[in-house]
Amino acid sequence: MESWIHNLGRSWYKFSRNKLSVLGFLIIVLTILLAIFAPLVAPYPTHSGPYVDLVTGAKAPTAEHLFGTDIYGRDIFSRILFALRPAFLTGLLVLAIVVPIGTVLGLIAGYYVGRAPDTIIMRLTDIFLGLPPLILALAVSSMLKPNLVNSMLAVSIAFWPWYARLVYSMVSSLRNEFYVRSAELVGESKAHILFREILPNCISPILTKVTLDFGWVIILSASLSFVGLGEQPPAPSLGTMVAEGSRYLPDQWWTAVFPAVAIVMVVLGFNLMGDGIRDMLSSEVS
Amino acid sequence: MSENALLQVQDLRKLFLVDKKPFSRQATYLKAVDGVSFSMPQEEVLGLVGESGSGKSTVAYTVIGMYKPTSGKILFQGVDISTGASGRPLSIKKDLQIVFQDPGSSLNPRRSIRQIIERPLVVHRMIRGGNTRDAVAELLEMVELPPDYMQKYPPYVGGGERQLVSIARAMASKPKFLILDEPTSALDVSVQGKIINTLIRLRREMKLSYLFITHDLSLMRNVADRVAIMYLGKICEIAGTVEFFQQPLHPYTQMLLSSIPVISDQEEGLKPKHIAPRGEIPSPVNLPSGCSFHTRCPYVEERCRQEDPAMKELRPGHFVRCHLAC
Amino acid sequence: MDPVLSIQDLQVWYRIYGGYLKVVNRISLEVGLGEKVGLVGETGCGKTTTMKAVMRLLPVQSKVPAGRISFERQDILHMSNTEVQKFRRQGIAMIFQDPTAALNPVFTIGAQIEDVIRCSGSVKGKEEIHKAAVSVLENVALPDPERILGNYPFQLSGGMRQRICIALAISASRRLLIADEPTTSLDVTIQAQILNLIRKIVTERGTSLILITHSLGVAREMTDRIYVMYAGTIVETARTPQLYANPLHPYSVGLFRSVPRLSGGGFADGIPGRIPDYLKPPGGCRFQPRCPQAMPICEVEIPGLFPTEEGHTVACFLYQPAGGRQ
Repeated sequence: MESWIHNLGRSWYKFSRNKLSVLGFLIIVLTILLAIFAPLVAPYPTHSGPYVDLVTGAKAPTAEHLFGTDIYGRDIFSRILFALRPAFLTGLLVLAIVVPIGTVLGLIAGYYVGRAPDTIIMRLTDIFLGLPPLILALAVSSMLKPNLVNSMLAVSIAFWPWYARLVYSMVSSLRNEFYVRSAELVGESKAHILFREILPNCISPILTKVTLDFGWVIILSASLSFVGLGEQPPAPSLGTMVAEGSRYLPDQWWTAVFPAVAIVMVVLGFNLMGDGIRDMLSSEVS
Repeated sequence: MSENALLQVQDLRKLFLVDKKPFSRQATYLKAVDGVSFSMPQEEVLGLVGESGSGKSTVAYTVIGMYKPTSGKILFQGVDISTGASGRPLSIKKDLQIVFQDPGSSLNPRRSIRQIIERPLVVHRMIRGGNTRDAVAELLEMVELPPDYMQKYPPYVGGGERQLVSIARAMASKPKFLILDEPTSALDVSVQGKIINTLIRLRREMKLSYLFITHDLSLMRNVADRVAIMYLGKICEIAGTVEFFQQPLHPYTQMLLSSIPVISDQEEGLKPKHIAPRGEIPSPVNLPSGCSFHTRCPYVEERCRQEDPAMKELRPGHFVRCHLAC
Repeated sequence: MDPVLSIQDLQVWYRIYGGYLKVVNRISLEVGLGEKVGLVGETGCGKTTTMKAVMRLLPVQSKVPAGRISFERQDILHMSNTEVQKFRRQGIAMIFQDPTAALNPVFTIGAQIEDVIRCSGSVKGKEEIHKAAVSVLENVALPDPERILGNYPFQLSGGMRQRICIALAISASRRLLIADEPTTSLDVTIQAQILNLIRKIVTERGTSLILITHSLGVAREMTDRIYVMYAGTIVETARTPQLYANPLHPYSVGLFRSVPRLSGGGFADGIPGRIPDYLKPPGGCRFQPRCPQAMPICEVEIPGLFPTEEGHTVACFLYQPAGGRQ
């Protein structure tokens, strides 16, 4: 128990040596809390749906409407809070699909480096990596019905190869570690070697990448909804809000700028936190 | 000799492809092991000594099955095991184990010492009922580590203790034959004694045989029954330990002995005085013609440049590969 | 005569989670003009940290709470950055353990040596600098210097790379050479040649030498006087023949007993336990928890260096002069 607290303390010490990581951590904790408690925090919870009040439409930021209102008179601050929910949900679900698939494929390819499984899996990965992720996601989601679930699917297709690559490069060096050799010489099964001996040693870089990618997934799914291939109106989505708002630039700047700032903050938060997590998980010589 | 031999290695060769030009049959090979033969009776410690690039580790890794030999034969208790580890039956893997050099890399940092030591017991079904606790404690006791080491993880114990854990894991399947690949060369001398003395005790108690790979001749003087010297993929001298250190015959052996830094005048007196270390080890990709040591040998003759000397038994059990030795 | 280098009461700490690692604990050391001094100790005893402090190479998380280092009467610890630059260029030369890491892989050997010569400012003009580079390589007995100047580090063997590091270190005339485990990564026949080279250069030029090593054998061959270090403290200092004839500190005794001898006869299990946790080092003598002869006073008080004979001092209460205290 004591050592558990000690380890936590040391992890936080390493994480917090870079103050920017702490800033990122705070941004993320804050935005997650705001997303979870959006119905309680948002001043106008009903504005998240099909609400129209043309009288208060297109108002610049005031004390009443912190970020102003859109042309339908909906409070932009409230809508941003609600839009954070599908954004985080997308990040969570996409990574939950992508990480296991990429990891398992990378494990197999890396262990059989230079042989058939390597060639098949990694050339397939190369093909996917050769296409720009946005274009790939656009192509996939435009073939499907535009909605949140399908946009997640499209983003997933763009992301799994990165995990396959990362794990592949780790495994192809880890398989030469003497503890892996030892396991082979004892007569261990391949499943034991891959999942019990090698995989635990890949966790740190995967975790770092997951944190950094959270931001990228949110950007990519926002891009999809920007062009109308994500969450459909009137449900709030950061990408759609920026897209709609951008039509009224520069006069009603607040309609586009505040949702865009929200995207930037979330992505920045994950990136800064990712750096800290990398510092925390890197084994230190001391 | 061959009837009661535990391990026989016959004309073992191992080449590694270094470079191959596309659309051409020409390829460059590194000759890591170039015709090595030896045989070990039961309960023997054979020291296989050489500098880096001598191929001593490649011999070890080929015997254990990490590499497949390019040609030649390896017989273990008369059974041909010249396949890689994947082609060997589990019973051979049980009898033939290895302790690696670097205790940092040979134990998985993410697995507890109990998880590490119990695996051979589980794989070889040496434990009934699934409770490995007592068996692991017994193995730890064998290397004189307290049972509470079970819960620890390798990064949190010292280098010497890690190597003791490696030995306990290798001993778990009750092997007959252990390959020791420089087991103490990454450790401090004050820790080395414990490891080596444990190995000597286990060998006596369990009637084990060791193939001891090392670059440390002083260590072999104290541990091995026989010593073999390797240079550029070949054994150039092999003899019983006492005879080997009293009458080294190959010029390379003499050069090695004269290079060892020692700590007393008594030992200084045991070093050959007439030969000074010189030259560098040639690349095993471009082996010299004739005797591969001729580029550094102070006694070199024309014949040495042309003709590769054969292994000769100059005294009973003392073999030398040199034109000039007698 | 003034010593070339003098360290007084030096402490070096590293900041980590939970406090400071008190790595170097009040070390005093002197090197006379032309003297060859050995700093002997095992992994983690602080010998490299001490030399990093001398070269002002300590990392940012470190601090030096106490101590003075003076080199030819200059106060090293309080130099400004520009003074440090000049001092590194002209004051002390250093050879590192790993010659591969000490050379930049993307520049030719020639470019790197010529850079150093140009920096030292003693030679001007492209032709002249090239000639100086050639003579530098000739000084370390490298064959065919013109070819080697055009090579990249990876094209040379470990021994040749170490020769080049030595060449770089001595290219400007220096008063003190610090060699940090210069032969640890090399084979014994190459080690013997490199040690001969260092000895020859140091003797010819009258340069002082600090040899950091974990090998008692290497230290015996190379040095006039030895400091034995344990856990950041100097436990014994003596002229080399004195130490090898009669090591006194229980740690030195344990160390000597664990070295395998070329004359055979086995060796001790080593020293039980391991080096202390530098975060919370034991009170009193730092060796006391592992010492077979520990007394009650050892846990309370830090032993000073007690002289036992001319030039031989031991930091151990066993050798406290009778009546020196109560």
